[in-house]
Amino acid sequence: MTRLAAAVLIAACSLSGADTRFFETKVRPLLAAKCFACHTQSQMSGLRLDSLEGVLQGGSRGPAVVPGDPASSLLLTAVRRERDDLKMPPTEPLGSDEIAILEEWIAGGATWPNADPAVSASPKLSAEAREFWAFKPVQRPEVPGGEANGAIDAFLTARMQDEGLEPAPPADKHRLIRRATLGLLGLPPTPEEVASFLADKSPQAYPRLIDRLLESPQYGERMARRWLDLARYADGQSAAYVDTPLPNAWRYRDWVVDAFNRDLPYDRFVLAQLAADLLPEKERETNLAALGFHALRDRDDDRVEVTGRAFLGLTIGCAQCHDHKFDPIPQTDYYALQGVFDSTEAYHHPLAPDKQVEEYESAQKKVQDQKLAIDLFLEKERGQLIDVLMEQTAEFLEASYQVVRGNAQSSRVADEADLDHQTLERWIAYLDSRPHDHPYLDDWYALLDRDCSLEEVREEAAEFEQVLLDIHRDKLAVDDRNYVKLGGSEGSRTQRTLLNTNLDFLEPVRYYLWRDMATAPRKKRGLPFAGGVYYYSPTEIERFLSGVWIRHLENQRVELKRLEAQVPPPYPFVHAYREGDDPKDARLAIRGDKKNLGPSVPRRFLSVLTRGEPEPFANGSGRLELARAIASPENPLTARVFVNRLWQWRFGRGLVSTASNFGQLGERATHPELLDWLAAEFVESGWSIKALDRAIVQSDAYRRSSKILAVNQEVDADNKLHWRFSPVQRLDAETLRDSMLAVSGQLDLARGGVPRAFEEGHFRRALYGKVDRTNPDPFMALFDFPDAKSHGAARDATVGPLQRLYFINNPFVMEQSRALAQRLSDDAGTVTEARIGRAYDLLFGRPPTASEIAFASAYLESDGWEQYCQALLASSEFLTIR
Amino acid sequence: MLLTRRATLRILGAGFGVVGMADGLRAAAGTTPHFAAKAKRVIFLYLNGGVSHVDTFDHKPALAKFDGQPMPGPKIKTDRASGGLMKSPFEFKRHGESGIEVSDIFPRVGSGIDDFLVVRSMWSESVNHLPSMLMMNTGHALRGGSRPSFGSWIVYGLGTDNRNLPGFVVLCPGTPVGASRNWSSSFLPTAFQGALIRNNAETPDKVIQNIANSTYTHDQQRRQLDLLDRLDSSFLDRVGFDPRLEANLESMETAFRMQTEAPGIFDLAKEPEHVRARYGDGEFGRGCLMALRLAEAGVRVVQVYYGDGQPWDSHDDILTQKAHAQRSDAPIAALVEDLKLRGMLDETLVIVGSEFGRTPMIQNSGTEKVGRGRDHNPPGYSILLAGGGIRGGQTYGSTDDFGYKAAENPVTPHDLHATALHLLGMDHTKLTYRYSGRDFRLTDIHGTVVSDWIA
Repeated sequence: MTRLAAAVLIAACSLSGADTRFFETKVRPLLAAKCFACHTQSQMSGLRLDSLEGVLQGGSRGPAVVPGDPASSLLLTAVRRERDDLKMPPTEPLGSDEIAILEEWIAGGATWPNADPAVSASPKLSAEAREFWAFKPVQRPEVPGGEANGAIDAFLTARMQDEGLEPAPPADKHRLIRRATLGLLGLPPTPEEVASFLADKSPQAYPRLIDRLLESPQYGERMARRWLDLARYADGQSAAYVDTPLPNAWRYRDWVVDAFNRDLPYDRFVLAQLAADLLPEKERETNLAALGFHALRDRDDDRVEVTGRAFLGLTIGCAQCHDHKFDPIPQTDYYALQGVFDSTEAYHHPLAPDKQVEEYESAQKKVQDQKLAIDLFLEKERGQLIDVLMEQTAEFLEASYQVVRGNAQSSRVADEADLDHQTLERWIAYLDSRPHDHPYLDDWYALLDRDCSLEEVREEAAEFEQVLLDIHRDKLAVDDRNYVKLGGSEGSRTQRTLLNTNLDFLEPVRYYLWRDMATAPRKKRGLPFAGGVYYYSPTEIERFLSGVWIRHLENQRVELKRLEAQVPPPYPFVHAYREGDDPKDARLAIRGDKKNLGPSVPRRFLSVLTRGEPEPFANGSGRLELARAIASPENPLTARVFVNRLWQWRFGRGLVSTASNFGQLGERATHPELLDWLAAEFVESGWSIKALDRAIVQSDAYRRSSKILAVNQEVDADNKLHWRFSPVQRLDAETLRDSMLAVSGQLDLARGGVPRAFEEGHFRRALYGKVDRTNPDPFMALFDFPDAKSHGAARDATVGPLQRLYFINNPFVMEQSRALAQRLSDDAGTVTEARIGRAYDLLFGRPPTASEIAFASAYLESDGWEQYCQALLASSEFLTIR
Repeated sequence: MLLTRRATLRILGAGFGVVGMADGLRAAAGTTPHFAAKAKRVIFLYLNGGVSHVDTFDHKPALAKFDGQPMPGPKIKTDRASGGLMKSPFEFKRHGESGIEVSDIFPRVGSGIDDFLVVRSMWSESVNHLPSMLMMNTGHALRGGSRPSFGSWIVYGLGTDNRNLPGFVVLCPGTPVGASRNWSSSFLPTAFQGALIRNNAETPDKVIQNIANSTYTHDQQRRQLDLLDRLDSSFLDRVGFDPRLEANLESMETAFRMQTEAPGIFDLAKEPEHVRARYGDGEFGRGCLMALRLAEAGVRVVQVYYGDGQPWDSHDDILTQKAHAQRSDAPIAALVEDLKLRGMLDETLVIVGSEFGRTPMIQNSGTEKVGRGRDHNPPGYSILLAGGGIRGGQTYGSTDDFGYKAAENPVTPHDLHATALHLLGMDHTKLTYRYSGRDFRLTDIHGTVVSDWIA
């Protein structure tokens, strides 16, 4: 046994709880804050201070620490700054209290626990922690009074009776069809649909309506948008100013729409989004786009959090820096899952044969090469032109003198001197634009301020030209030196190299003169520069070219066109991910500090959702095992969380009102047995979302009126017990837009495909608008569309004057008002009452009252139909679901 | 308990009205300060890109003495390749009774320096603009994600004094790095987000979206609103009492009032010529004057960005700081003077700052060509504070001899936030919002109120 190994053993054996606490609370944080910057991976002087081995081994000067012997420990010598050649940390001495901590630690034997007990790899969760309702298995409860008359209502009625609440009466049929159609499709019912529903007097009318809605392709669109909130879906990656496009993100969106429409069982839905690439072949190819759930987000540190919240209703993200404060989720659980995602890599999965991909890539490369060749040619010519013009400087100065002093026409002077017209104009403007950032023209101006001879002017011009040529020569020499420093043309074009290389420069004032002659215009940073006198852009340069040169350029451009024409259309691909080459465990970041890493944590599932000790995942990253553990009928959360979401989508609030947090800090279920019954039923039905939805919307609870009953209001004003249908206050952003377009007759129901921003002027469903992370659509943001940078568990529904201003002034609303007015006259002819009736049918699904007809008619005597229609679109009745 | 119409209207306090889901109600209801406030509102002048503290408010004679020599100690890893120390091209002079040194590129702020507290020991961690800006604006340098902004938290805590205007207004003639993330309400209700107003818009009616109607006259719109009121009342009669719907009705009237009143507040022509002249006609000057008018109108938080992108980012040539100072010196000084003249300085906290300072070393790398710039310097930088209970005419803290790192009394953006909330009457540890299973704060788990700053 080596001395080192023995010392490690001794130090590790002498561990007491107090020592460990002292190390973890005092020593390790101190080392992390003051020493780790240089003495971990970078190993300055060969020294690592992040492990006992490193400390004992020491660096080039020998061991840093001798346990039990502070006097012989170089670490202390260094921090006490006792030796001139060894003062650490170099810039900022430690305080005496900090030095005392290190001294005490070394004197006490330099205890270095292998792992923080708080972050032990296999945490023991107390039995009590597992007893929390959400972690207990789902048990199908008895339905009060039997299942015959609808289990949902049986549970709800039992609670209402307990509390002495009286159910509100059933809603009117016209309100019911409006509620269900807006709820399930996100669109208002057409007058024809309302009429046929009202005409159907059979008890089957409502179930038939629901069947029709569930089979409508718009059902999947509506459901998908809800799900996309949870998945923080967007069509681009957020960046400093504008999104970096994700050109195929929409394939994920369309996959979700399709999954809801074909009623893909929820367990398969979950599996596909987490691990489609690892499914059996026949499922893999058709579901690969599902990986967009995570692949559309470039941050790798929100995947655990979003997986937890979306599928499990658990805030695992809270355990990133420490054990979860409230739920039985140790910090190791976070890193056990992080390891899975760290072992996964994002990539573009082509939806085209290899040959097509290669053809595209190689054709693209040819185009890029050709562009580069043209650029290089023009750049060279641009440089040469500057050289030439620089040599004509004295002539330009003299010519400008003649123009300004002699009141001569600049084009005539230029012709006579055989100078370029535009450049002379620029010189005249430049000389007029004092002050300059350099002194080199001071003599020139001084000369012109007094009476001077042409001889003197020529002399001064020639002198200035000499100075300029001198500077220009120096500049070229500086550029040459920098070219070498940067490693040639490759490095000169690489931002990274440019920023990491110490370069040569002209003296600033000399540079300013050179800049004023030779550099490109710029607009940025609030200080615009109009461009150098001799600077011509690559397109401007052409007029100076002739003969072979211009022919060469033309040929090159013809070739570029030819190559561009040969580029096939971009091949389609899916934003996907796959297993990384070398799956490995993540190291726990102590207090979330990525510079202070603790032990690695084996990749495995959450402790509290596993019976006994969780086994490490065995296959690859473990992602498929993770997905299976989530999409399992045994998982107590997965089904509960989803049935609760669907309940939230239908009633505006879940049985658990914190839909993405089923932990201690979440709310408790108002009807825990109903929640469990729904979850059990959901799993037993083969995870069918449509069957679940049908059961919910066919309940009496969903069909109740929204009327407020004063007697109930005292007991349950929030309607937590579902004695009435609580209206979702305001239509959400996309339903609002879609509804306006639907009633104005402008809605384009085309499905799927590439998204387009609303400002491009399309009238497709809002689902197909572009979701931008950096610059969200102002309309959608105004109506509480969630921030697509994080998981959106629920929508706000704020109502305020800004939204009202939108309705009274926005051009889109005014455009829809015009279209609606036109539609009324097309559909209902010239009779005012008929048009008003049609408007009420379209917007509200009911006929107007006599008084409504009366005040509308009165209004229409002074104002137009468009204004009337606009008021209807802004009205509360149109904007709310009741 | 039933919410009466009056009670519902009272909780519209967030400015631009919040009557929404439970969160919105709870949030807007929290409009009582924790203790007596010194400040009522905040104006944050943001000089985006990074003001060079060693060329403005933190004089370092050692830079002249050791000009061109390497900074003692180990080589500092800067974001871009840098060289030796570089002296400031500007002269410093002592000003006012306090004798605080200010460089000659800020002459007017210099003459008014007795109103300012110069904090010279700010430090931050991230070397890039985006995270550092988010740290300054949201207290969290979260890449990709978002947290509620400083202004959103304040309006969430205090509401606003003018329901016809947003509680938090952001004036920017373009887009700073990070765009809306700098004024986002993130998980707070959206009503608390900053309302972005492009103060380079030509006419006042362009500054608030949908504020003006291009087609209908005022009378036509009045009649249309009366019609709408009848439609809504008729609906309300049909469905019976509902507090939310009543609030909805009220918000229409507010919208109409806003439409009439708000454009006037943004119309700088309403200020006399001699006032306007002192701000100059630059974008930042107009922004500062607009901030004054918004503060007067009762807006809780106004943030004015100096310009589009990151104008103060002087990597290549430190002289550009002079050009930007010429565009901001007069407006900053004039704003503080006018707040004073109008009796508002005592209750208006003015913050002038940027996301970090600039290195004492020369930056001799990069794509541009002067080669006399300074790189980003998060470990030490300066900000100015004035009014709102701040003790002016003093400096606080210091950097090391070269201005590289905060040395004496280091303070962070969290401390700034904690102190600002304190001045506004709020305890930063108690201003919380529950989201994703935990209570969030502007200052996260950090922040100390700096009592030395407070008068």
